[in-house]
Amino acid sequence: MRRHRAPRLAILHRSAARRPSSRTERILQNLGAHATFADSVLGDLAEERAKVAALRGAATAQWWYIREALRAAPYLVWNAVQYGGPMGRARVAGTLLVVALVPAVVFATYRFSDGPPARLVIGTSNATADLVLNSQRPTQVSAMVLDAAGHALAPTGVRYRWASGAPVAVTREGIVTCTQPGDASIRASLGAVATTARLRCRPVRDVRGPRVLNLVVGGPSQDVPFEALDPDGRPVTSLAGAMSVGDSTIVKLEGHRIRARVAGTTWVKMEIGDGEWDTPVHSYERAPSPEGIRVGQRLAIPVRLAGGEMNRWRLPASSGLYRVTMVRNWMERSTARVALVGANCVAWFDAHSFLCAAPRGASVFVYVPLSADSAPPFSGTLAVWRDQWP
Amino acid sequence: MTTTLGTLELAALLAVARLADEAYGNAVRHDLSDRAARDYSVGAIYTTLQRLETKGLLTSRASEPLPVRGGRSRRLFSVTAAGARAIRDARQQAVAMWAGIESPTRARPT
Repeated sequence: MRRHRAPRLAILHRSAARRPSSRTERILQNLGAHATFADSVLGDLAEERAKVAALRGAATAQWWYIREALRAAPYLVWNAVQYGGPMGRARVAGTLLVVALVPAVVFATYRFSDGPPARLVIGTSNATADLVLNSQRPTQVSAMVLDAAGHALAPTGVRYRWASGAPVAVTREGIVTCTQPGDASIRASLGAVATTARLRCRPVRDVRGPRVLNLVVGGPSQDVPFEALDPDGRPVTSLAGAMSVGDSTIVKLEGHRIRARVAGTTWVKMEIGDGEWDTPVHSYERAPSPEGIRVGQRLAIPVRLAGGEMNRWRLPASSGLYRVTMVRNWMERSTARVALVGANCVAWFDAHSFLCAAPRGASVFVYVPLSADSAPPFSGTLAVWRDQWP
Repeated sequence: MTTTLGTLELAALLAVARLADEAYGNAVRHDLSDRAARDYSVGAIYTTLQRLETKGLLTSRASEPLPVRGGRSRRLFSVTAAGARAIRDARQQAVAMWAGIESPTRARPT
């Protein structure tokens, strides 16, 4: 095979090339583009541009030139890579890196840098929500300072004042004291940026809820029933508080609802304004029967009985206490009765809950009295917890 | 053994041969664009011409500087003897390949 190669041509062309006349040419040659190649391409572009300008006007020619120059750019760069030598290739790589970095830096600067304060949001990220205050103690109101792009800035220098409505004490630093129920407007400002929020003073002195919560593992999440009361004992409905649980491996909070994860005991706590309430939460695992229950087990046995019907189970002898509870379904109006035979029991937390000692075993009965009206069958859960301690 | 040519290389070589003394980048580009109904970029044409020159199939010389080119010269190409042989070989190859074909879509039954 005969190869036609003229390796000396490039050298001849380089020496024959005139000195670069335009800035573009100088840039291309500095990048390492073949001098003759760059000269020819730029010369052809200039000549064609003049023709286009004569035929279609200078503006069209300008656009044509930009388009063609962009189309030629990859070939010029490739030529520089081919003929530029190691230094030329390094320069091309550097140039391409800069070309790629500039937009990235511009984007990053815009995306991540903070601008001047453009917006204030009092208390919450939801600008349309009112600010609810349930405490009568002095409370710090905070404002979020945002720039135009929504970046949070340090909330320093924000000044507050009462604007209108109910008489509420507001310091310049944003400490608010609600003594009486009522609505007021407070204004926050930082330089020329200002905002107003409605403050709903709803003092809460006391929070009340059930003495115990019983949950079944695998069952639906339940609302945590509670009631918030003002200093005069009246219910308060506008609330801003916090709910927490003692052991989130046993129960899980889902908003204001609670769900059992595993069998066990923990507590749930509600803190609203100046009141707080906490109560134990027992969770039980489902089982068809309490018979054979082991020490430490907590079982939930579904019960469905019509009027006049009864269920009976045998509990094994135990040195520890039994805790037996009839748990009503949420919508159930009536409750089945529970009785234990052979055990010594005291009431636990209501009339349907017992703490029982059964060292020789016991029988637990669940029954629904026969009633005159045709009530629907009772549906609920018998919860039995065999404690290891007497 | 013949030099292997790509489609655009052969087309550019033929255009240079056709244009004779007027074969420079723009003229080759217009010639090819008109015949192929395709808008070739200046860079693509010169890359091809330069490759042909490196293969020894074309040679080039600079014209007098022209004001319309910003004082730059045209780079005029001409086909070398090796280029002429390459064109001839390509034609023979094409004829050999087309032998037995009456039309592009219908083959002669064997």
